[in-house]
Amino acid sequence: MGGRYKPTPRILYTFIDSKPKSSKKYALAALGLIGLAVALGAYYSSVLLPQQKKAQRIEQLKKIGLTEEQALYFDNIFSKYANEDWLSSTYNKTITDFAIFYGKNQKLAEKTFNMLRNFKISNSFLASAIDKPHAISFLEKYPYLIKTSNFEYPLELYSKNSTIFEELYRNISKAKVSMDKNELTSLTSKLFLDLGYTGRVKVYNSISQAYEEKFVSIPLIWFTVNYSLAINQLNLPIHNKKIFI
Amino acid sequence: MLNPEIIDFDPIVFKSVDGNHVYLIPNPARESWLTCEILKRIKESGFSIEKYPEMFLGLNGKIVANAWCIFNESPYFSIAGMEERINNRTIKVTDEDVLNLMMLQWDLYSQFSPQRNGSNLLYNRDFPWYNSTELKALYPDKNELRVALFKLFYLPETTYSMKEGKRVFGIKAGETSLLEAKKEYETIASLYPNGKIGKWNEDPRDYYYGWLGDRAGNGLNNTVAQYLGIDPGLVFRVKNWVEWLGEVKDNDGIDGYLTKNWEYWDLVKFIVGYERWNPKGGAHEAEGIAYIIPETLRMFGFPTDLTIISPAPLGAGGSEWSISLPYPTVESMKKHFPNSNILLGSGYTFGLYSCGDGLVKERGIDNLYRPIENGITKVFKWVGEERVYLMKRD
Repeated sequence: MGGRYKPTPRILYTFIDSKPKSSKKYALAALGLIGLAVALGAYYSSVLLPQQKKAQRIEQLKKIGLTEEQALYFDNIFSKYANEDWLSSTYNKTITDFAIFYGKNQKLAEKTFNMLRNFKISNSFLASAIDKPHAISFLEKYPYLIKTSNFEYPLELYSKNSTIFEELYRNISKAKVSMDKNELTSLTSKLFLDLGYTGRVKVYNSISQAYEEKFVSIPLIWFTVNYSLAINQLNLPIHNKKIFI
Repeated sequence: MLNPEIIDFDPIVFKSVDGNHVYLIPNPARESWLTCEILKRIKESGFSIEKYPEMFLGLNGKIVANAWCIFNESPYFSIAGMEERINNRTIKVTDEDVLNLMMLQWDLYSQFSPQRNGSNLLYNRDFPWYNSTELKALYPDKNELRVALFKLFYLPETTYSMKEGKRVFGIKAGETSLLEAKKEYETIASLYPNGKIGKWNEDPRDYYYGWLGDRAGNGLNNTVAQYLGIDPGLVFRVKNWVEWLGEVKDNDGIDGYLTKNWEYWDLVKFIVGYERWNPKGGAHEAEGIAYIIPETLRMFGFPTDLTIISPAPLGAGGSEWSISLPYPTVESMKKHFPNSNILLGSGYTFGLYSCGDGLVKERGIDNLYRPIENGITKVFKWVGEERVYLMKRD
C-alpha cells in the first residue's frame, strides 16, 4: 500500500542477539565515545580552531608592531579578509602592511579603508598620509584624488596649507579644462610646492625697496592655477622659478 | 607677482546700445604664461619692472590686448589669422617673432614713462598707463579703463607701410605699425607746438580743420556743424579754405570746448592735421584713416579706434578715428553740452562720428549712390568681427 519503508537494524539485532548482556554495555560505551568524539570535534572546529587561528593572526599582528589591544581590535574588523586553510589563518602582506599603518594611526587607517574599500589603494594613500596632520579631512573631502592616485602633492600642499589647496581645487573645479582635473590638481599642487607657495612668500616692496614676506593671495592662487594650465594643458615651457619671485 | 592688477584676466565688455554687448574674453592660461614671459624679457632687457608695480595694470592691459590682437579666432582680424591666410603659417605663442613684437611695443611705449626717464617727452599724460593710481583716478570705471588700455595697446593685423609704399600683413603689420608710428612721432614731436608744414609753411592744425571742411562738404555738414558749433550752411557759403579756417579755428563747438578745456586735444589736432597733410608714402586717404592716423595717435599715448557710420555719404569716409577722453573731461563736456547727443564709445572714445545730432540730420547720397533719406542710421565700432553700436536706428 505504499507504506513508509522502515529498514530493520539487522546487524544491531544480530550483535545484540549474539551477545545479549555484556555487549550492550560495550555498544552503549562505543556510542558514547562516538558522541563524545563528535562533540569534541564540533567544539574543536567551532571554538578551539577559530581561537587557534585568531591567536595565529594576533601573533602575526603583534610581530609587526601592533599592541595586543590593537591587534584584537584590528582582527575583529579585518579577520574576514585573512587567508584561511584547514588549520591556519594569516593575513597576507598587503593587509599586514595596512595593519602597520593601523598600528600607527588607527583612526586614519580605519577611515581610509572604509572610504576606499581597497587595501592596496589604502596603503598607497597611508604611506603618504600617515604623518600628515590633516589627512582625515583631506580623505573626506577629496576621495577621488586618492582613488585616481593623484593625491601625493595635493595632500602635501593641503597639509602645509589647507586654505591654499582648497582655493586651488575650487579654481580647477570650475575651470574649463580638457585634461583630467584630478591630474591637473596634482600637477598644480606640485607647482605650488616647487614655487614655495604654501604660506608666506617673498615679495618686493617698491616703497621700502626691499623684499618682505606676505601671505599668498587669492589672485596669486588664480594666476598660478592658470599658469599650471598653460604648462600642463597647452604644453608651454615652464619658466625659471626666479620669475615668480 | 602678488599684485592683482597684473593678473586680471576677466572679460572686457564693449557695451552696445542694442544690448548685444561684445565680450572680449582673455585666455587666462595663455595670458598667465605670456605675463611671465614678458616679465622675464623685460627684466632681461635691464629694466627692473618688479620695482614699479604701478606699471602692472598697464602691462596687464597690454598683454590682454596683444594676445587678443594676435590670437583671436577671426581669420580676418587677427595677426594669426592673417599669417595663416597670407603666409600659410600657424603662429604659436612661443614663436620668437610673436614675442619680439610684444617686446617691441613695450620698448617703444615704455620709453615715455617716468620710470624710464621719459617724463619730458611729448605724450598724452592723461592716459598714464604706467601709473595705476593716476590712471584709475582718470578712469574710475574698471571696465572702461580696460577698454581704453585695449585701444592703446592694440596691434593691427594689416597696415600701410609708408616706407614700402604698400599694405603689409600679419606680424609684419604689427612691427611696421609700431616702427613707422615711432618715426612719425619723432617728426611730429619735433614740430609741436609751433612747427609748420607744407610749401606755404602752414600750421598742421589747418589741415585738421581742412579735413573737417572736406567732410562738411561731402555729406556731413550737420555732423561737422555740431562738432564745431557752427551753422550747417557755413561750408557752402565760404569762398575758400582760408575763409573756412578763419570761421572755424576758434569755435564754440565740442572741438572748441575740448581745445580750451583739455590740454591734449590740441596735440590730437596737431597729429591728425600733420597726417592729413603728410603724403604718407603714397597711402590712399582711407589707409591714412584706417592705419596711419590711429597708429600715430597711439604712439603719442592716445587710446584710439575707428568709428564707422552707415550709410556713409559719398565722399566722406565710412570710418574715422576716435580717441579716449579721460572721464572728468567727458563729464564736464557732457555738462557743457547738456542737450547734445554725443555718442561715446566704450573706453570714453570720442571723435567726429560722436556727433549724433548731426549724423541723424544728414541727407544726400551714399558711397553707392543710394539716397540718404533718413540720416545716418548706424554708428558702430568693430571688435573683431562683431559690431558694437553707439547708435542704431531703423
